[in-house]
Amino acid sequence: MTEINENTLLSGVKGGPDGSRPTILVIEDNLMMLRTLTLILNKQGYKVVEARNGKEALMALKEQHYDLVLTDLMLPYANGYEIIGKLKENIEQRQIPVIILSAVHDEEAVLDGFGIGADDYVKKPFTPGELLSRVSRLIDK
Amino acid sequence: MDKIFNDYFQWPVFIKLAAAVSVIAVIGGGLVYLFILLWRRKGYINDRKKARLLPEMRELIVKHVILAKGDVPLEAVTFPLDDFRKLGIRKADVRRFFVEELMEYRRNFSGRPRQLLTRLYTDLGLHHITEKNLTCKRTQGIISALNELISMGVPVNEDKVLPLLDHENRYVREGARCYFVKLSEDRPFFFLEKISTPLLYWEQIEMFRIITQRKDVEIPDFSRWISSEYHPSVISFCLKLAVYYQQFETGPAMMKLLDTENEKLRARLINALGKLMVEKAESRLVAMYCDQPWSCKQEILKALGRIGSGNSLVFLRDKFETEQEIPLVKHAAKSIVNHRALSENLLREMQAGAVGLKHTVLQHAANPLIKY
Repeated sequence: MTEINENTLLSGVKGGPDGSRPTILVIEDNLMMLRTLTLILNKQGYKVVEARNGKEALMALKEQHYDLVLTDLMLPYANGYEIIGKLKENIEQRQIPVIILSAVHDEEAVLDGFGIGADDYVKKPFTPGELLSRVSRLIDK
Repeated sequence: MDKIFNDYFQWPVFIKLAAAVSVIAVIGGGLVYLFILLWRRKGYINDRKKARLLPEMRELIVKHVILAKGDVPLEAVTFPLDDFRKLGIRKADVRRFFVEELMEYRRNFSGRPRQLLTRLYTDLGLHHITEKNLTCKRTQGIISALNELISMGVPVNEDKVLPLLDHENRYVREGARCYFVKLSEDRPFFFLEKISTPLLYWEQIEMFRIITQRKDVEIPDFSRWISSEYHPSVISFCLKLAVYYQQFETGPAMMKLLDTENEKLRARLINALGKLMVEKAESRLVAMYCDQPWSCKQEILKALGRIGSGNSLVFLRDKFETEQEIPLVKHAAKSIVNHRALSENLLREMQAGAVGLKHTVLQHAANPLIKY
């Protein structure tokens, strides 16, 4: 784990004004995917906070500011739409970009996601390169 | 102890029986609890082992497969196989954990990482054990082996999968069909020849999904299976595929089968003829209308609207005016509307003359927002 979690900033990841790394909240109920996403994002130089369900995600959102939220749709306690809805209701947090990462492919789900305020939608299966480029594009914005 | 045994034989018969049943029940209950305890202990040990191994497995997979550099050609990528072997994948349980992880990664990642996961699986020789399991006696073992090969996208010697198409277990047969559709290079549709029991709806949906997603396969002419020699569920499945791939050449085979006694199959044939807009079938459909059951009549009216040649407008008008059942009247009206420019004058004339319910049905059918 240590090798992948090392705090090296790779090219493409810009630190904050104080040199801090961008922080991403990853919400995913599949533990394998959650750990993998963390490893991928860590390796790219992002700081990651993990949440395994809607309840944990809402608590994590109260605790600190994030530069991006990456969420699944099907989650226990509160689904992805509810989390995004709560986030967008909050004046302080509504600017945080949100990416939905989901295996739900139908057009309706995608449109609902954008309708509720998501900034991007990545369909599973995906390539790490595709995800990272979308993440960096939104964080750089 | 001796006293108990001596006394036992002197007890009345029903007491003896009751005592024997109680003793058996206590011993049986104890054994069941012991079994559960051992089972749970095994599960607990497995979970602990898995929890210990998974982080290491994931780190290796992510580092060497998911985040492998993209500038090296796929064939030139090498994996540190010894590092993977050090995880202990020779042991059956560790191998199972590892393969489950690979399958899960393959489900979630696409493109190059997906191909590399398959390469890693074969480079480690994990498919050899799976291939052996195809001939094992345990049904569950065969199903798992087929599922593993399909999930990992690894084709093996087809002669080993071929007998499984006739296996006595339905799930094995289904797995073998999926294997052929998904992985066979030469004969992905061979399974259609072997179907003798109904191909269930959900099996058809799964097969349809796999076939239509596979881009590297040459799509055959499905009229070959649209024949009375094959099971009605096979014909029905091939009709859907013929429509999906717009195989207009299947029209004659469909028309040959219109005399079938199977009402559901006939309705599906008519539906497919309509969707493929087989104009040659129009006169035949009109001629057979009167002798058909309700479901086929409805499909005929819909099909004539889809074909939309204009030759059946008089027939459709007649059905609109004479049919007593509202759904049939509605479909006749909709089919007239579907003729668009060809039926404009007729529709205007009908709207002027229609009153009451017929007028409402016409208004309803003419509304482009209502689809049925």
